[in-house]
Amino acid sequence: MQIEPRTNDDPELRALVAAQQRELAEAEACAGGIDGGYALHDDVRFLALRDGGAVVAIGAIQAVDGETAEIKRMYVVPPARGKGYGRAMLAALERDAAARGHTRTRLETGSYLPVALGLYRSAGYRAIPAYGEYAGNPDSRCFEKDPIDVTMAIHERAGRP
Amino acid sequence: MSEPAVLDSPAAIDAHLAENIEPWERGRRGVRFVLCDGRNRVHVHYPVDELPAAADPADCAHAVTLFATALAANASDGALLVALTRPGPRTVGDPDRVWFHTAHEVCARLGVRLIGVHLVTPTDQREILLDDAL
Repeated sequence: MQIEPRTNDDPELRALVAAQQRELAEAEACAGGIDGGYALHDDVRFLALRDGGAVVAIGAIQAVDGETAEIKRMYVVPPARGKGYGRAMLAALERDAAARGHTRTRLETGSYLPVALGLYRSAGYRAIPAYGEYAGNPDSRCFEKDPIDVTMAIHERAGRP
Repeated sequence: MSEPAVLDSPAAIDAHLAENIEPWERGRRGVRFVLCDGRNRVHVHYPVDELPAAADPADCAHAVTLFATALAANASDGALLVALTRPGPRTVGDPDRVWFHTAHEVCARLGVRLIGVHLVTPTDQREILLDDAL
């Protein structure tokens, strides 16, 4: 198993991003939501998780400002789901953000993606109001985490005071 | 925003775990992966909850591999702390030994520096040492 950086024009990465966007669009359509396809920043960095020779998960991170980084394009190929690859990718992206000096990560997902919602909550993310381009989208669910502010994140995940 | 904790001594690790693992978590069977940078500054905690009482070596290896791989993905140096939580006494048992050996084996294989494997119970916490795991 290996997590490695990939460039935007990597063919294997592009195929998985296309699959992710296609799956997202189908889920949004079923939920009656609006089309996604939000643009990425120029500084976006992609990671790919390879296991057994094949890429099984991807994710990306981009700076919002000096403090905050945004996680994008999280995707685990269907046959590889339920094995922790998404969690490992999330941890790698958070660590990448922390290593670059960001003290907070945030992300957006859809209300119609219960597995993703569960992953982010169990990883210590707390719900925040929809931000930026997601504001006003009733299907958007936005989350935030201060990776080094562990106590707060875990308390809120568990619904404890 | 507070500065990240630095796990640069047994006392610092003890204090960090005591501060960040709540009483209600200490009695649950789980494992906390603490991803740190090259100076042992805490970056991210990742709890994995609801573990079975018996530790399957393959499952343990898979879990450690996931987080050690996440750590190894970054170009900068990093280190991993593994904290086991469970009910019962502080005496090291067979499942604890499985986690200890697995964590060491996987981190050695992946070239990830392992800060240590710690046991956290409802009433106590300690590092698991090689002597405990033999």
